[in-house]
Amino acid sequence: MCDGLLGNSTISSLCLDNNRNITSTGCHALSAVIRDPNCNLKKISLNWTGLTDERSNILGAALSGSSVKVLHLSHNESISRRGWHTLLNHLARTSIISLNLRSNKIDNGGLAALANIGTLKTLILSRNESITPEGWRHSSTRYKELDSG
Amino acid sequence: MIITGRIEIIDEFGGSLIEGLGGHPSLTRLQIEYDFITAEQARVSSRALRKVLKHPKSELKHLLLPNNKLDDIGLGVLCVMDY
Repeated sequence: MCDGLLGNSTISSLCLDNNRNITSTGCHALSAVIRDPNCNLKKISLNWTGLTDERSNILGAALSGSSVKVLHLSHNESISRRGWHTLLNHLARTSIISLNLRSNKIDNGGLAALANIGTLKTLILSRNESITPEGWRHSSTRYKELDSG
Repeated sequence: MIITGRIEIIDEFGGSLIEGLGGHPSLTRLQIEYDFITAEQARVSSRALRKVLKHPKSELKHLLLPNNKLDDIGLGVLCVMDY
């Protein structure tokens, strides 16, 4: 028997885009759902949700090891560069195949961390203006290394 | 099924509207947006959504609630607990 989303095994996608009143407390509730063994969520969309370093870390820890495949986190400008490093390190322990990270504060370090998500097939990174040409060059080299085994 | 428009959940009406969808045999996608869920009524609407999710015949796969004012209480009720 499920209790709301917790324990529900039929819901595969959840969109909470542009709900900006959710703080760490709400993120803990959502994390409990993600961590539940019955959870069948494959897609979570949290664009424009005002995530901060703390909130993204709560969700990232829950996503680590989850079955989520598609994650949308665009326009969460309150997550700092350091926050992205932490979150992307969590995501390296997932099997995510699609990430939308448009319009955020991801920098060269974040871009490098993305290379550790070995399952990734689709990545949207437009309007992350902290990534420099050097960051792109370094990342390109890294991906070529990964591609060649 | 997509519910849009500027209807606010007032005096349980919206909650009843959502609750009525519980157990619908072909409902797999429910999209409720544009401030249908206000901060003031987040608890009512989340309780109603929870009943839809808990319905033994629920086949709901996609729950889309963008552009609302869900807060911690609303999300908490929807996810894990009652208040």
